[in-house]
Amino acid sequence: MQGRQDVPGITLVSRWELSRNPPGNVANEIDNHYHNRMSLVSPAAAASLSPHPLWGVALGQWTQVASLEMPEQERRWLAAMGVHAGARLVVLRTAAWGGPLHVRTASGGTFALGAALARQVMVVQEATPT
Amino acid sequence: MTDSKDTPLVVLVGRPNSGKSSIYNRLTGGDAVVANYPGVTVDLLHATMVLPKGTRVEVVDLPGFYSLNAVLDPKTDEGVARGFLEGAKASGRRVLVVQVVDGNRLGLGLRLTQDLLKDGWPLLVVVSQRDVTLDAGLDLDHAALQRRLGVPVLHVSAHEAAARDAVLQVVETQLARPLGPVDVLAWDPDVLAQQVMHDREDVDATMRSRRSLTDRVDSWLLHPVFGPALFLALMTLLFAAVFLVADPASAAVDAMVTLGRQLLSRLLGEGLFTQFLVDGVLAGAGTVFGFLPQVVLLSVGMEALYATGYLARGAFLVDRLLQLLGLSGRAFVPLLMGHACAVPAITATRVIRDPRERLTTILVLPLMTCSARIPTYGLILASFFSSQGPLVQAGMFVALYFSGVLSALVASWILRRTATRGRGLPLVMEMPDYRAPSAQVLLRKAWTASRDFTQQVGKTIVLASAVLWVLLNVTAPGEVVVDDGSPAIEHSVAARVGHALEPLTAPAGFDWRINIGLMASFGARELMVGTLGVIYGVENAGEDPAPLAQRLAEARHADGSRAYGVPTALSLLVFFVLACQCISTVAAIRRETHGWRWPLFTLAYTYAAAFIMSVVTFQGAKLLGL
Repeated sequence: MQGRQDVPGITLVSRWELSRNPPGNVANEIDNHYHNRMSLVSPAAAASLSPHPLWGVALGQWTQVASLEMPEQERRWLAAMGVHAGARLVVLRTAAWGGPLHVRTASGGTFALGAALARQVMVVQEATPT
Repeated sequence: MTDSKDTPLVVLVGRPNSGKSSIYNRLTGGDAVVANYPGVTVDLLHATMVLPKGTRVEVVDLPGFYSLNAVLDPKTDEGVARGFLEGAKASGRRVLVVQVVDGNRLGLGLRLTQDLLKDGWPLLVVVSQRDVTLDAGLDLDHAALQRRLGVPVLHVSAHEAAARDAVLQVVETQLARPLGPVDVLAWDPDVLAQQVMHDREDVDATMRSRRSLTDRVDSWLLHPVFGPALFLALMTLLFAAVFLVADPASAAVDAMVTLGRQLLSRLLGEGLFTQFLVDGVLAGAGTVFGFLPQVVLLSVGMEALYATGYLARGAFLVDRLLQLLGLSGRAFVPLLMGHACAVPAITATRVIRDPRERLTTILVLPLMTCSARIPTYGLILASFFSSQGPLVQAGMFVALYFSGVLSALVASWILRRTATRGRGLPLVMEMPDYRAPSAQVLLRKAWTASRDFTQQVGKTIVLASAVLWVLLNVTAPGEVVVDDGSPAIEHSVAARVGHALEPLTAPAGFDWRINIGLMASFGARELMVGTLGVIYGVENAGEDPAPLAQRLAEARHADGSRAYGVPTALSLLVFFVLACQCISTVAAIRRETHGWRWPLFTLAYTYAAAFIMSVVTFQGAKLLGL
């Protein structure tokens, strides 16, 4: 997979490149990619750049979906809505008392994602907010 | 699918809230429910029409769905849509799928396009919301999109009459054309959307600012502190406005019904049949029409909130609270609708994807404080609490409203741990952009709400009222009527049944007269006040309950002791909060759950809870010396 060098040790893959690969391959590609590169960055940077749950991501921080850790049926449902491996997301706000996240995808959709679900959506942070 | 096998089928599909129902209405002039809320189309709407060159087709509007390959339960909107498409394929009929795509969320809509093309459906893509897109300074290169997809693409606004002819002409052309091969894997939905949607040449700052209008409004309406406060204020305002406006309207309707009764009495003269028509049939009709303004106003108010896109935000705000009780934000709208009438609210639960959550919502909806409870609440508060002053009465009224909500939430909590236990699906809900509601849509909603209420609930009320009149006026077999001054009703069939139930209901403080009222209101709660009016010989109690309130407060037993006090009043209020006294609701539950198991379960648990809590309330109030 081709990509551009945005930060040392990390190659960000454009959505166009991601879209040319089936979703399953994209997830694997991202996983392999980050695992291969993690040894090249500091532990702090690695922690922020390794896949982590969408729940807890800072507001306004663009991220890319690395994988959806949920049963296949739910994964397909979420992918159909527009939240799939490779999709770019930004958390706009969170509801009070640990309620759902208000999320926007790069394709223009805005969604309410329940807190439980947001913990199953693994994302990697993008180097710069878009 | 009702038409003959030779009639081609034009099936409207699209993601929820894509503007599909608006296009359906534009094409057919039909009355599909149009709302800016995901998953509003809950029934299969269809119409037969003739295309410009004379081809007769059947047009079907399917519920919105996101994918043909991600259906979790066949009973949800997506399951219904997929089942229909599979049935259409199996029937051998000529089918054209018309996919409506929201132009403002093109990338998302094209995902479904890809699904449909992969499955080999003959397709016409109608990109809607052209007016909104242009206002935001964007335009679609629909020719480029058409070339890329390999199927016809139209860019229309459902508000414009020209959209109808444009769509129908292409539909007719496509039905006559064989399906060609399309390359569905050569494009990415998001990338394609960005390639074909571009800035208008005359785009200016005002247009650009419209693109962020929803974000700016959301920053207030979804604010962690102001959001819930504004939401509560808005809901309070809506319900207050409904009752303030509905009151004079109901009074006007009541006056007209009274006039009709007087006219009928004058035309037909005095007699048993006239009494039956006036006090049985027309009184029931009066009850229906008296409630119509409330039901219509609340439905229109809710529709206005749907159309603006605000109700999806409400679901976002209350999701956490509902999660604690085993539900999600998606259950919020049906639960809110239950405050007007449970019947349409039960149908609206089809937007809930999780089958267990949906069933739970259906089962607790009869507990929400629907408008039919209000006359009984008003009568009892006026009878037994008028001396406490208007503030106490108002406070009790609000408490009764929230008792309904609270009991529904408690029931939901229990049900999710017993009858409907199991893993629930998490909340995923699309948040639509804000839009101004159209007057036409609101007027259509007013019409459908009044029609549905009259047809679904009205018939039951009129029938029950007529039957009740007969039971109250026909002397029970073996009963000897002695002219000792007691009302004839005391010797009726209804009175005998009421007396027979007294040993059972006495611990709750109910006597034979209240028993008759409860039996009558089994069909519809609205009948309670009218029935007590008949029993106490108060004419037009439904219109003016004040004389009946006085009679109830002063009612005595045969031994001269006071018949009812505060304990009975509280007990009766509790019974009305909890019991599912509505045949139409039971019928709606049966329709949605495809059997008698859950409607009978609902009747059993609500009546059991109502009776037990009434006994506890009555005995507790007596112990406290109230």
